[in-house]
Amino acid sequence: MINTQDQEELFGLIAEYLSEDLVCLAIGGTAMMFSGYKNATKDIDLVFENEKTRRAFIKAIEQLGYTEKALFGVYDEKRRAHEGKPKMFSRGDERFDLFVENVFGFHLDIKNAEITQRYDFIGKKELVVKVLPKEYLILLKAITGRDKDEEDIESIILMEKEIDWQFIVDEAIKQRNSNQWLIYDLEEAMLKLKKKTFIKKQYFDALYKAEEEKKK
Amino acid sequence: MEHVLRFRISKRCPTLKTRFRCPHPTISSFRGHLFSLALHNIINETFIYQFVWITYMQLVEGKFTVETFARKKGLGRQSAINLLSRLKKQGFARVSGGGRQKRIYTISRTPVRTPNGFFYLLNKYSPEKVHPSFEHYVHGKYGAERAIIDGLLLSKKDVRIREAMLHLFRHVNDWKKLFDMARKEGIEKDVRKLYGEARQKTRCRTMPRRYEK
Repeated sequence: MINTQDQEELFGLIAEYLSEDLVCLAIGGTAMMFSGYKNATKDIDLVFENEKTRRAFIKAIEQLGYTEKALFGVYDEKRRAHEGKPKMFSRGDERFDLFVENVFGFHLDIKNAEITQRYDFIGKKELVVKVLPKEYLILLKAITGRDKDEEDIESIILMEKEIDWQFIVDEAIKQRNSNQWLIYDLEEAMLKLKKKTFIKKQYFDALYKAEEEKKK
Repeated sequence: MEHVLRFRISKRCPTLKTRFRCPHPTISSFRGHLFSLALHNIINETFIYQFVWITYMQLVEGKFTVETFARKKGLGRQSAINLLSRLKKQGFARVSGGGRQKRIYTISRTPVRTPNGFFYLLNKYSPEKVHPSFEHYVHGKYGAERAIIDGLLLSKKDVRIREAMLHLFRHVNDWKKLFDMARKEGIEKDVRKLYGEARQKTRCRTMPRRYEK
């Protein structure tokens, strides 16, 4: 586990070991910590623009003693087989999940992404970490489907009054072709959340309609 | 114990389904009793967790003065000040005013930090204030040089940023750094053009001649 302060100090340290300036997107627990939804996380999820920037980041964390780990035990089989799977690096309790361009098929435009926060860690080189809006965090948590992801979505929903479900559903529908189980995962997550919060029927209908259209 | 409490305060209680309500109106009047109970293992950590969550985190978001906050929470004035002070330290409350002005506390459920990045610098140096489109935090040295580069990239989305950025040139110390960064982003021409505008509209430092071409 890593807490907010440690995480920021770690990013600062990584910036000292980078060989080039990098820009990445924070998703998952990292983004939640930056946004103040939680205090500690098991893994630091980052999305890079291309393989080159990911390699530069890996080079830096390897110098700090992080080693690559297998995805087995963290992600299920369908996710491990997906081409948008991450590379995992760990050192003790801390773990990095490093994605490139997409998260299990869900594409993220790093340069032009709509962001809520940006953190610049200026060391020897500059590491820029962008934080996505809460709607994206919910959607990506639904896609990654790890142990604590459901709890994390609940945390966001309990702390935020206004969640733009229309945006979440639209985004899922827009990207349904790149990830065949995206709509199913989102629907499953929404059904579980329905017990905790009110989600209008129209959002479920939109998902069902999109899935039917896809089948046709 | 104090440390444990502080740590727990900023966490959400996962078992809030319980309808527990503390009979004591303020945490301060109950705190000593709570500590002694915890020390004697009469109450466990979950109880403290729930108690602290209920008394602290179940706060209504919004703007308050000390008086309205005290009324809302059913506290005395001093207790309200103490609670607001603690919330402020933990980042859940921000304060504006003071002195002749009445203090207004803005309470949020998530801890809020004061951004120190691009928009902070821009609004500090420019008389034309820009509303931040995102929160920007910087760890390390962030000067006018970096802000100009960031601003030129951001000004494609917001035209007002460009106007405000003209005032940043007065604070440029390292022209080499500015042009090195501009070259990397491929916006050298834009920097020169912006500098030309800044020279016409504001009082700013003279750029070394070697960067003019």
